[in-house]
Amino acid sequence: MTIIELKAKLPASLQSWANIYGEDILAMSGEEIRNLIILLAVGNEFGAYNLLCEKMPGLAAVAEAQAITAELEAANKGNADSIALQRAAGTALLRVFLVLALAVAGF
Amino acid sequence: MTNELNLGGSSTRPTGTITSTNLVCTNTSTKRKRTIDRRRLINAAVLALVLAGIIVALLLLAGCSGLQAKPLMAAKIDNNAVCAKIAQATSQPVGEAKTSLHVNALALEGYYRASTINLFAYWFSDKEIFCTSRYYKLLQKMAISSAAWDLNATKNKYSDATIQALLKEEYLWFGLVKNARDGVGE
Repeated sequence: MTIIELKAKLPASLQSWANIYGEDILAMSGEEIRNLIILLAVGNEFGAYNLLCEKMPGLAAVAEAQAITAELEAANKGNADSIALQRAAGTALLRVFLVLALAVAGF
Repeated sequence: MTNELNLGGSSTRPTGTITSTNLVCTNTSTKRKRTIDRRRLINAAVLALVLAGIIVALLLLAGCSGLQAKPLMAAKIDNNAVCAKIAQATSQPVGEAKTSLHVNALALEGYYRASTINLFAYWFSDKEIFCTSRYYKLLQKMAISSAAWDLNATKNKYSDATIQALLKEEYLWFGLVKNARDGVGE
């Protein structure tokens, strides 16, 4: 079976997945696919995931890359929040000095 | 001199009252001087505090990002982000994609090697990126992972689609590192 044949058998929503993982799935033997289905059927997701990672090194790599991207985005959000807080503190401090200056000037 | 000080006593001895008044005057003027000096000192201290406060406020207003870079590295970060954005928009052939994976791995390793969480090392050594420990760990992760992927891709362990997916993520990282330096949250 080729990627094109595999994609033809899949619904449109899953065809993009076939682009990424299709080659690795097709490279697996019938025995390996049967083992994967059995592992999923008995609810052993961890075992199934390990089997896929062994057969599809790219799967683990892409998952890892996406995890790092998510972590970086979260760090950037925290960083931006921290900067916003610093600016709010700076504005508040300047307001205090303005009030003091006005008080000294006699207003 | 004796006549000037004498206010009714014998010509040879000045009265004790005058001497006492003189002493009181001397003491009062010393106290006044001290009071003035103290006031000046307090005023100077208050002025220094106000100036320091204004400087701190201005620094806070400028905002301090969790990832800082020296000018040369900042230019590299900007340049890499622009290149990544352009590369992301264009699809690359497999051979070029592998080369890009290698180039990205080198650039990310450069980021990690140039980074430090020690402010003194940033100021006084050749470290060009100062960042929080969170960003430092992320830079480390990115460097290690991208090097491993580059190696695996060279050994043909990944499919073309996987290489493209990895490249896409790496290009995102370059933009996100720039955002980290700029303090942008999105």
